[in-house]
Amino acid sequence: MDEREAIDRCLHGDRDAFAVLVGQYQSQMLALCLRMTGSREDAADVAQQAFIQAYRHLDRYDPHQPFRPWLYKIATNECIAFLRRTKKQQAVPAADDVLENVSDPADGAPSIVDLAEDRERVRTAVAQLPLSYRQVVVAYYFQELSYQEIARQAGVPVGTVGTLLHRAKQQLRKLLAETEVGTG
Amino acid sequence: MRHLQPEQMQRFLADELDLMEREAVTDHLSHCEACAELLVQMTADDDTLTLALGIDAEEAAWIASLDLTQPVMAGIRPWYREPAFLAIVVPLIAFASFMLAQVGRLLSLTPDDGGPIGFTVDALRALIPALWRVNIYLGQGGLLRTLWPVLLLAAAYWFWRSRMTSKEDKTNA
Repeated sequence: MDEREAIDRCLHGDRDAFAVLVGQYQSQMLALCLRMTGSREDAADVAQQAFIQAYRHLDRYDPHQPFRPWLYKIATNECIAFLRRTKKQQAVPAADDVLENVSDPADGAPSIVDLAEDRERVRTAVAQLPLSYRQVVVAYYFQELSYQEIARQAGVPVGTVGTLLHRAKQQLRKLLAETEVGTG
Repeated sequence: MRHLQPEQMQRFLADELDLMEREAVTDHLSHCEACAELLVQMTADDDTLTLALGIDAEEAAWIASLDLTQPVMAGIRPWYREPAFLAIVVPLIAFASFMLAQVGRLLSLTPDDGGPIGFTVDALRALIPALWRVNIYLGQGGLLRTLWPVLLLAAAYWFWRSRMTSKEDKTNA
């Protein structure tokens, strides 16, 4: 049974057909939730909840659009709702704060490459990013979505995606620099 | 010379500039060493982030070890199997059955004296003669008098479920 057929069957009341979609997408959903939540335990719970939400709102899915981005959007929203609910998020700093505290590599400040000693450190820093920044970082570097797709997923204008991405990298540099000072 | 904005370079790296902007940036980069150097650094940063955020072998093994099918399928049970629904409806049915049985009992005990109560009893007897007879008949059994509405509802539910299941089977076929 392929994806389209499984969706059709679900829409006609065959709940068991949804298992096919879960089997097909669970790895990608778990990976996305893992990157968004930064915790395996939370990722499993949120991915499961995202699938349940997807099933309940399947009638709102436009069959002319690809299924995966629709599912990813639900998963991302679930992650954000979970992180807000559990308060596992940082407040978004004002743009000026970011610019004051961290300068660009163009101004001689160390780059992410200089500060990132290992993957784990980068991941920890990403997990500490405010939600709006984390969402675009994960969407761009992990999901490898285009600005247009990220804008659609995050519900922001396309022009804002570049700004969010740039500020997120500035914030990442700041977080990585702080951990370097902490460990150094 | 005015340098490129980092946001503009980020969009350049993401291939999100239109043709004219792209040509302008490419032209600037060809004669601005500082911006060209910054672009190399930003590319390296992007590569670092892409690599760091990718799924490693350990995480891949963890993901492969999980099967969400069972918990998800348990989570999408139909509304009539939701614990909250059952918690409300089952006691309601029990209460309604009890009340129905009490009405039946009242009907069987009330004398036909021609007064207001007697009139109501007569009206009910006329309206639901079959129900009345069933209640009187089952009332001989004591416990059955309380339970028969429940059994009736259960039979109706079973009939409805079997209809739904056969409809689903036809759809699947």
